[in-house]
Amino acid sequence: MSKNKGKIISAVDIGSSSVQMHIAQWDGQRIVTLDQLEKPTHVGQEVFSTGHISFETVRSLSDILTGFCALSKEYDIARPIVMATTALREATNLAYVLDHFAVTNHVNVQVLEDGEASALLFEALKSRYPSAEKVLQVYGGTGTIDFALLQNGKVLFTQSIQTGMLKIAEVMRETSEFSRYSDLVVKEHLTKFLSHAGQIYKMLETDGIVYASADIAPLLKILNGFEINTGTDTLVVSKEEMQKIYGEYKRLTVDQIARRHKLDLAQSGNIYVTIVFLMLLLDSTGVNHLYCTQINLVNAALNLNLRQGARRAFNENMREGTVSSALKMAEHYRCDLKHAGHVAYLALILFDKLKKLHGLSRQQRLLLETACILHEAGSFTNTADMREASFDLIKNAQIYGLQSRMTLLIANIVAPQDILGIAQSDRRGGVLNQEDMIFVNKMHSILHLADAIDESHLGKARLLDVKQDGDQLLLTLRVTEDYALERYALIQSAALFQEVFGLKLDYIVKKAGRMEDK
Amino acid sequence: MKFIERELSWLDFNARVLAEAQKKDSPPLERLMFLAISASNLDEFFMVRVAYLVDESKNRTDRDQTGMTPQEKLDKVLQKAYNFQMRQVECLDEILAKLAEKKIKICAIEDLSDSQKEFARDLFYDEILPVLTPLAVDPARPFPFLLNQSLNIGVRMRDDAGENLYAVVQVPSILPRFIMIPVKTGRLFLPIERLIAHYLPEICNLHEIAAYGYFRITRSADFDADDDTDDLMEEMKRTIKRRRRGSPVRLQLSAGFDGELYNFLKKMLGVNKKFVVQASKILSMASLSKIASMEDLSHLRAKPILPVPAAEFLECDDIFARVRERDLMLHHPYESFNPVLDFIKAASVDPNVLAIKQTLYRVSGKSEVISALEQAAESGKQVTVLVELKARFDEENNIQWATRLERAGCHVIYGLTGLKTHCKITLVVRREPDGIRRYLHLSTGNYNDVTARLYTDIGMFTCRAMFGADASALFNHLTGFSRPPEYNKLIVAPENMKRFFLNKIDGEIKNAKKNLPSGISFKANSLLDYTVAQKLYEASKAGVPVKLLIRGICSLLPGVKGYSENIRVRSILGQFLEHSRIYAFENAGEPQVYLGSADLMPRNLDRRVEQLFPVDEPDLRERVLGILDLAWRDNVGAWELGPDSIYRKVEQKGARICSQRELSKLAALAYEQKKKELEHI
Repeated sequence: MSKNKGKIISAVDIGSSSVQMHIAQWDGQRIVTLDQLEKPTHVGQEVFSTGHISFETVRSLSDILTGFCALSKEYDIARPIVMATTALREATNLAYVLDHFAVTNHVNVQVLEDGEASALLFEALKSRYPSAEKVLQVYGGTGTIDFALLQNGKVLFTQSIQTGMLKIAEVMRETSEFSRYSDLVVKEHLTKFLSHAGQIYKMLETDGIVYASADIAPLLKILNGFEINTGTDTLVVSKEEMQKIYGEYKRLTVDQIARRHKLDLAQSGNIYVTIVFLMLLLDSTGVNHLYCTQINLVNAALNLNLRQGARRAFNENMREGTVSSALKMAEHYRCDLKHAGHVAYLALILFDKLKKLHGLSRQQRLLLETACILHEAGSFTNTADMREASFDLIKNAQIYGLQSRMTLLIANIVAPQDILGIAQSDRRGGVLNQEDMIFVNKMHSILHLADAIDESHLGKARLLDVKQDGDQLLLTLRVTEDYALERYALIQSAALFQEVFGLKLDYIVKKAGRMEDK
Repeated sequence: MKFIERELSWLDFNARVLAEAQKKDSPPLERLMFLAISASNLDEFFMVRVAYLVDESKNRTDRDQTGMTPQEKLDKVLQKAYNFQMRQVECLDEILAKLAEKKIKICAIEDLSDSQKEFARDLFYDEILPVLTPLAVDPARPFPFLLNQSLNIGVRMRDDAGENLYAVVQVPSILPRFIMIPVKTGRLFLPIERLIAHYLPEICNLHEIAAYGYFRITRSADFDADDDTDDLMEEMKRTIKRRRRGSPVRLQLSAGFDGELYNFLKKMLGVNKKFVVQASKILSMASLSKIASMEDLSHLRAKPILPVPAAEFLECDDIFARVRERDLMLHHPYESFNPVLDFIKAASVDPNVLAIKQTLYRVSGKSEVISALEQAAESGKQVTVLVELKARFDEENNIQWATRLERAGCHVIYGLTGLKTHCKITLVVRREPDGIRRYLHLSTGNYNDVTARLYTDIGMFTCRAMFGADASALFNHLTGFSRPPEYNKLIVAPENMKRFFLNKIDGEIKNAKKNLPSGISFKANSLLDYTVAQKLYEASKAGVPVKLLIRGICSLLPGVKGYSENIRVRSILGQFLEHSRIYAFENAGEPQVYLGSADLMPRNLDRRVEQLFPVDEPDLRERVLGILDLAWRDNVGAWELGPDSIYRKVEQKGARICSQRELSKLAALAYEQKKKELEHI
């Protein structure tokens, strides 16, 4: 019997225009939604216009959460999982808002970055279509459109473009007085953004496309002819069917769509833009059909927490996705991928062997791994000050599955470090806290050491063993060629390592065939 | 399009109730009960509908779909109501004569023997006089405020100068309406006002009594609470107080009422003569129900149809397990209401039950439902109760229940602003080994074990996931947690019920035009919505056979050439009040059946939260269709509406079929069969 059978949870998403909650249980084979609630709010509007959330709105949100928590209790759920994305994240008084919820409602709101949210959504989407070798998942959000290319279920590459359905609809509206060809305006706008995301066209070499968004239900009804169960079902639309719909709807105005389907203008604008976008996707790829489904953050949270094995799979996929994303970035910046991979391999051995000493988590291990892959990215722009340049590139990068805070830590791991006590500034103008500093210094010293072991970039050494003996750390290396340069680098890195971990570094070099002293 | 005016249609309905009292072959107390019901109905009609027309006639002069202005309606209604009341008086005289043959009499003081007079006198001095307060009316003492539906004695006196003086003696409503005078055989009832009148010279002893008469006042109760308030309960309490002080809409006078006294009362009460009715020896005929329902006189009533235990719930130790096997149906009052109470009670004590939610519209006096909900809350379950405070004339009751439930720890809510919650649902959330399961009871009738013995209603138990999801969504909407959802199974007013009916009727029209089987069969308490009626006319013109069992008001005119040749309208009256709502559509040979809380009136479809639910299980669907079929074959209690807007008794051709008795037999048969089956196991 499935371990999770009968497990029930509730998940809340504090979005820009509404607060949603789903309560669902796992019946052994699938997620069954028991309750779906939605209360409209105007948080997004308030934040986008004033930059903060008024206390009146905070209290109103708090009341909604109180009601949702009470309803959760009816299912014997102690506390719902509560998430938020853009609207809350962008508020300048976010800390006060979160504090209010923690004190008044006893809920900890997880504020997700776009990357995290996308990762959750893409993971949840996998259960909505039959598996295929290569699939392009596309999520049409209000502010961004996210792409993820998957191969056999593993994330190969991700990309976001900074325009969403809402923005495109606005552009269409604003240009309507200049042109009656709204579909062309939409296509051109999208193509512009797609061209910025250089890797996008590689993603379009795919076997299948899955398109999802949170508010696709009205479009699904149009495509299907009648309503489908938007909680679980996926509609398959052939290219011919899409062409027919496109041919019919491209001539219509948003008002006409609204009247025909008894929708409001926002929904109708969304439908128009989505139809054009889907047609563009189909035309740009060789795909003959696409899968369309409705999914939102709440669905994604339920998937993660209910489906047996989902969390483990998600964590693994996250790791692979993050690494894959980092490798793509390293490739883009012409890094020595073999060296990067070798440094990562060495650093992770050191990390694992020194776990009792540093006490860090698997998530932090991933940050180290990513730092190793990207530690020379800066050579693309500035060979003289490569590490600083790497810091800048990484700090501003979008890496799959990582919050911006994580990429900042990675950037700091890579950046040149004065020995302890010197803080780096983050991009908001603040500083890393002490805990972060300690973490960064530990990881930097490991990265530095691993880099030294492969100083020549020739992959000469394999790390056979790492042993701690009192205040000494003994590395056993097997090398294949002359190791003089590396020995020199090791001496340089030993000092930093000793400052951070309090261990004197020593090593035994075994040449392939015989042992040598250091 | 032709439509029948609402109030006139209602008066026709009440005439059908009166017809039950006029049946010469009915037992006399059965007749008396129906007479009392017709009087009670009429009281409420005046308080609400006539009051409404009075207001409308002051403010509006436009004509509605019936072609009448409010003033024209009011005039016709008053005339018709007056004639009706005359018929009531005649009927009462007839019944009293029949009762007298059985030695049951309503008497005057003069009819009493000396010992009986002594008894009456002692009673008067011991129990009645202490609570009497005669009120003289003069420039120093203004005319007293007389409560709605109060019975009074008006007195005209003469002073030494021969001038008229007036007084009013209110008959205390806390005392029994009819005093039982000891007799050797039979029963002797003395109306309390007659006893008081006999002692008027002692009560009003300062002047000579020139004349006296009995009168009764009916006041407008057409007040609705202002929904736009922070405290609905307080607002309801204020509304109830206001209702006691509404303007008079009827003045009833006893036969032979003194002319000067009449003029005096008319002036004091500000009543126009068209609102005055003078006839009966017994005012407040509704109170005759006390005599009609006396337990030891049951031989003078019709043999009651008693509920049998529901076959499907026999030897049911675990009601949840029973519902899990399949959907179950109960037809009250033929089948006992106990399984519904058992369901709620079981939920209240089951440790696996996490939450109970219920809508309460009209609740009975000694409500076991309320007790069960209190117990559930006290044992830690999440109990949510939606109490409709605005259930007219039950407001005080409901305020009481709401307060009690809140004290027990229930989450009591009052529904949505501007909408009365009329749906009847109970939802139980239960944790089971394979997860959460929701059990539902959906019904056409209220959670009231008293009316469940008097009204016909149908309820269904189910634990199917989609119904559970819909019920949850509905409660979330009613509790304000969520905006109106999309429903899978339920049809909910005011969101989409009217559209549902119109679409379904359109579906039958389309089928008829394609020569596919088509048909509409409704059973409801009222049909008043003109949009739906118009659509039914359309259906008739398209050739769809339409059969409507409308117990009360019907605005649609059947059998009119060119409009409604294919429509037939019948109304059934009997021992029970027909209350269930059934909506069936032929659907090209695959019938679809729905049950629900809503009638076909604008208030149901536009201004209330109502639910309709499909009966999907084939055997249950057949059962409901069977109920409709049997009702349509009724030739004992059935009336048919003609194109001339007159109801006529359905002629009894062939076997006598009383649908209520037949349904009772079917329930008893099912019970016996089930009992035998279980004995064999």
